[in-house]
Amino acid sequence: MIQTRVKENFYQDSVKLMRIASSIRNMEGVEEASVSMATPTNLELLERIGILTPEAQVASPDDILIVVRAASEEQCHAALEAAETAICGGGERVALEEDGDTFQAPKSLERALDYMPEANIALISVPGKYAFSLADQALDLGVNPMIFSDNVSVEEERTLKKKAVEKGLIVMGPDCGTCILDGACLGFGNQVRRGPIGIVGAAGTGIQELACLIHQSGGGISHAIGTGGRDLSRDIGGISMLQGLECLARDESTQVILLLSKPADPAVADHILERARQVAKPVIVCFLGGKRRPDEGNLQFADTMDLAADLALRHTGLTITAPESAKTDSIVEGKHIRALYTGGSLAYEALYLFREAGVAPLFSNIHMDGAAELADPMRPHDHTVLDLGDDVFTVGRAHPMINPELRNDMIAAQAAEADTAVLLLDFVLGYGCHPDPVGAALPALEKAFALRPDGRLRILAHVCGADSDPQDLCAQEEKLLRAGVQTFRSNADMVRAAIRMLHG
Amino acid sequence: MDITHKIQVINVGLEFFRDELERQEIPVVHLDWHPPAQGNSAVLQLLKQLRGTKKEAQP
Repeated sequence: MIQTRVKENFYQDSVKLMRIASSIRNMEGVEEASVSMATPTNLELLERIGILTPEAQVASPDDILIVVRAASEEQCHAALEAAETAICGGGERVALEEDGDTFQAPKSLERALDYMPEANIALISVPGKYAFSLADQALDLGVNPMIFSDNVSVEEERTLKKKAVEKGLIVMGPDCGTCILDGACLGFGNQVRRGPIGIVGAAGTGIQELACLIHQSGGGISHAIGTGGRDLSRDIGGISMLQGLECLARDESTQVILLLSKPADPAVADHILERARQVAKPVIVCFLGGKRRPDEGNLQFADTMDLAADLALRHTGLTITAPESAKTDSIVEGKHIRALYTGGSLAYEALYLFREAGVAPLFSNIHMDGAAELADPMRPHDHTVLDLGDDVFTVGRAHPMINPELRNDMIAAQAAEADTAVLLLDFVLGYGCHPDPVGAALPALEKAFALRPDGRLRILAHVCGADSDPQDLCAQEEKLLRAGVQTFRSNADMVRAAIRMLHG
Repeated sequence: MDITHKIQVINVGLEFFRDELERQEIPVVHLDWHPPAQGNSAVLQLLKQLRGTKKEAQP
């Protein structure tokens, strides 16, 4: 039976609600459950999974909707009660003032500044349509906004960034997943060694990959400033990357600067390079998938992240740790590579490398010349690279770096297809990420190998992490090796190994 | 723009970002934020206009 409970005018963040849904789905007798804001998108999802009840249909977008299908009425009721308790309890943290009084969490940025007058960052991860207003207020109050939210319009982004320049502040975002500032990880980020390499990146997991490659090679970073994925478009003009470049140029702890992005608008790229030439420090430019250029003056160019990390490390007397030579089998003709990524920048780099190596036919849900668009992202075929963080996969679901369920299902589904020869997987560690991404995937990996008694399925993996991250990088890699998965120290190495397998 | 020293964060939105900053012992205050105008677009639009008027009126 199905029961519904509606909490009117009650807001809780999407990740918290998804976690509550996940935990009540594990309760006895519960067959299906959803806990979400009653937005049109979420109602569609309920309809798709067969639990859109009449009460749910009339709920409004600012209501929390709890819907449970269970074997009995008692089990439904128990799940609804558990969900409601989780929603209402423990939401607000109270702390004691020095004189012993409790206080309520502040409800406005102004009030928050009363408690923390020296706040310099506002980390904004509300639904996109509200992000502009909060970021605008933050700028008015002299606080730098880091906007994790996406679905902020181009016009809003431009308005915020122009205002930031006038006020001597920086907008990190929108759609900015990672910053590592003075050692603090904001959003997703890795616990890496401090050192002299600074990063400005329009690519979240790209920043993480660079920071981890540098750390694992003995190097360290000063700061990693995220600009948001659209910063180097013609409409935005690289405003935040230019500010980040200037910040690191002035920063005494930074001796070499890494700029990372997907291919930029040509005029924007030229403008950024012109400013980079004026910096009295080496600048390594990695515009993933962009045209290779010869080095000039203080500028060096790399088209992959491992090469970029190596160039930066060499300026500090180090080099990237050399990959172990991996023994790989050849792929039988007519069989295919399926790369299932949680990190968008890692997926992009993979697609670029496959394209450059002439891997064909090549499909993806990422737009890139030389790769065809998948008609249905849920149905990969031929050689496919999937970015599972794309909007089409994250409706009603947390990002795959937080919630691995969708990818686990896809691992099994792809393994079951006789023409899948190789699966490529990334596992991203650090703050904000899943506490045990490999552990969460192990049942799916075991099932994948079991589905292929012919023994011709290979699974390759790259764990993007630092040995000082909360998740224990070594233990994560060990689990993969014990499960029969081959691991690689960089994303590019993993992709190159797959290419060698294909080309014999 | 000092984002290179003494990071202190106001967190608005996902609570677990606040939790992760606390794990790192980074000073953070979490806003008890709710959608303004209870998500009502028409009222939201009016509030935006009022806010614009208020800013213009300031010297």
